[in-house]
Amino acid sequence: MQFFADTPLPDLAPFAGLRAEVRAFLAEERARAGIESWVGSWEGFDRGFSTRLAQRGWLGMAIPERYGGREKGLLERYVVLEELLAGGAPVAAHWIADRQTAPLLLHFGTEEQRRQFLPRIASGEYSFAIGMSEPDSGSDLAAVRTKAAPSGNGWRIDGAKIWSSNAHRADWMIALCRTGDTGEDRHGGLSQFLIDLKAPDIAIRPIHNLAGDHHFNEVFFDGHEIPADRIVGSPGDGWRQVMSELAFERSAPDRFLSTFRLIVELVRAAGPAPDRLVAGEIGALVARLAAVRLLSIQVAGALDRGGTPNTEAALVKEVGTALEQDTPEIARRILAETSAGDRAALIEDLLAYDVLHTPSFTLRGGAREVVRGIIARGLGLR
Amino acid sequence: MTGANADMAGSAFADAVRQALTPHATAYDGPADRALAWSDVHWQAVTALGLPKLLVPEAQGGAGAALAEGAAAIEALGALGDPSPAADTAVLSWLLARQGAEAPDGPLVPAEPGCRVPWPEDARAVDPAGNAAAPPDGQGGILLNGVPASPALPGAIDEFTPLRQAMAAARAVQIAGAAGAALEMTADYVRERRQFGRPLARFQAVQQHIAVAAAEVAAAAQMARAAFAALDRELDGDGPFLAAAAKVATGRAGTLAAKAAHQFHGAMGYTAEYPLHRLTRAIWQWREDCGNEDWWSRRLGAQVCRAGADALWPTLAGG
Repeated sequence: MQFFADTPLPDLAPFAGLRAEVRAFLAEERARAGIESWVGSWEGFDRGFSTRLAQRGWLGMAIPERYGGREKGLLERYVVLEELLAGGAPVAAHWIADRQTAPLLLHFGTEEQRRQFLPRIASGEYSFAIGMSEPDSGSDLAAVRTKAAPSGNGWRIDGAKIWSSNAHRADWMIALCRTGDTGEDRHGGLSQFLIDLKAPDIAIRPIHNLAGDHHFNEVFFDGHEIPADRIVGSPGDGWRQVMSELAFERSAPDRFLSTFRLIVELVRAAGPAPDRLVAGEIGALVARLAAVRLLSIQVAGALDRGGTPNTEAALVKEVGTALEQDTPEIARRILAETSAGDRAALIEDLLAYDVLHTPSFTLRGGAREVVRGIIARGLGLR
Repeated sequence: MTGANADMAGSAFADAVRQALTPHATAYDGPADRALAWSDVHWQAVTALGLPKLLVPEAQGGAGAALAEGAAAIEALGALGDPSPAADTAVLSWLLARQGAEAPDGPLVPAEPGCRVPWPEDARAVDPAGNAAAPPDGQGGILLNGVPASPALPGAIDEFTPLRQAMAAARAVQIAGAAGAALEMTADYVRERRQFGRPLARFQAVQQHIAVAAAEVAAAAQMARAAFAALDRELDGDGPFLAAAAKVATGRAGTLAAKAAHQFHGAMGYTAEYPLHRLTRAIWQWREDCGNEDWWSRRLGAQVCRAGADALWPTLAGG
């Protein structure tokens, strides 16, 4: 049982100059915000940041130039993504659009949709929310009930989506809706639609998480009418589309770098000559991080070659999110013995944020048990 | 079977290793009422493959294979649970050649304090600095995977040496191979074995446990291959970051794989008759060799802290 045994690790060394530019940009942005570190990593929603990132050419990097993108490879894009996340930058305003919507429309969208949406994703103008989960359909996406029925020249949407991060701030949602019967494999009859979240008849109700933050929303569609050209691909394509989006969602560096700023501050708190127990904890953590990053880069390489490494992406998510969940526990052990010095307030903020957000790490992008089931299928166990 | 040559792709050579050595590695399967060892004919097969001088440059009489290709061959050795010092000899011959020294024929073992490794009586030794050394006297009992061990050498095991670094990367690759093979054997077994009216593979509890181990092994294997491929560069660099991470990650993942493999093979997998222990005993031995995951994680952590918080990301990202 080997993964990527015969595949050389993609070489990111050619992008060293790009890394340096992104790091310099982030230093400028931190100075602009007057902070020494962002807390909350990719959940920070800052349209200004996204716009400035786009101006530097680091948004829509995988979008062809004719649609306003930079037409770069997925590996070059990967370097920018991991630099942004390792820096803890506030990327939420553009993250979903750049990660999922752009490849979705590139692969499945009409020419008109690509012309309308892709340039505005690449410029940071359009922010997208995900519309997959429903009150009765969390990890079990095949159970989606929100209905899209032909109506006049378009579609009429009835139902509700839930856990849609930043739907209250985003411009558009990609909503997975039922347009027909499930069929025998339960995967039929689903289609995705582009929905304008600014429409007045869409109700968006905030759901605060246990940390008191408002990212989640429930979004209600009560006979919401959309034009015919807002369907992505053909009716019934939804399941295939969602699965291809999830390969991007599950293998990206946001599946193992969520707690990276805390790790950095732990190293700072440990000082240059930590005792052997602290050194051992840090070494074990860094080894896991280094390993999952390489696996993630392999998946990026496979995606770049046009593959659909769904099992491999699930491997990244399994290992990466376990690491993320362990980080605050390891931090607690280290900090029980170590004074954080002049960064004490920052490290407390980072630790509190990570402790309060750990439950989400193994839920978003598919619950851990579902992800393990995908791995098991890839191993021929089901 | 012809020996290795530099034109042979890593995967093709790994196939050759599998083909040539499977009969020898599996010859140790079965009742374990004796200490295992490698036979002369086994070592002859290792030699015929060109493994001992695989990584030695052609100008110095070797096959001149790249380290990445060597990793593929060593992973294949690991997947067989091959107990011979074939990997040790390949790595140590390379290390000697790197020092400008000529690698002697026959099996080579590391003479490193705190490193107890397979110990053929006719072995030559390499010292911690990577130089040919006189073989230490005697033997030191039996290793966990059933082979005669080198004697326990006195000396400090506080710091890593080029030898320890190179051997750790090699063992990491071997563990990755053995862990992958143990999980493969387990996946095959749970598909066949029926209990409660259905194959074990149909139970979610079984699926999930194997999936977790497979994910850790997949990540650790990447780390091990990358560390081995980068050995030359890293031996000249600031410290063994990749080699250390590889030994830590594979030690952890190998442990999980062995645990899952035994759990689902039930009592059958715990018997001497069943070939699983060829892989799991190898994992348990190799994770100890030349620094276990705790030893290496402390060195890695110390190195990371010495470099400072702001160097962590550049180190991980390779620049």
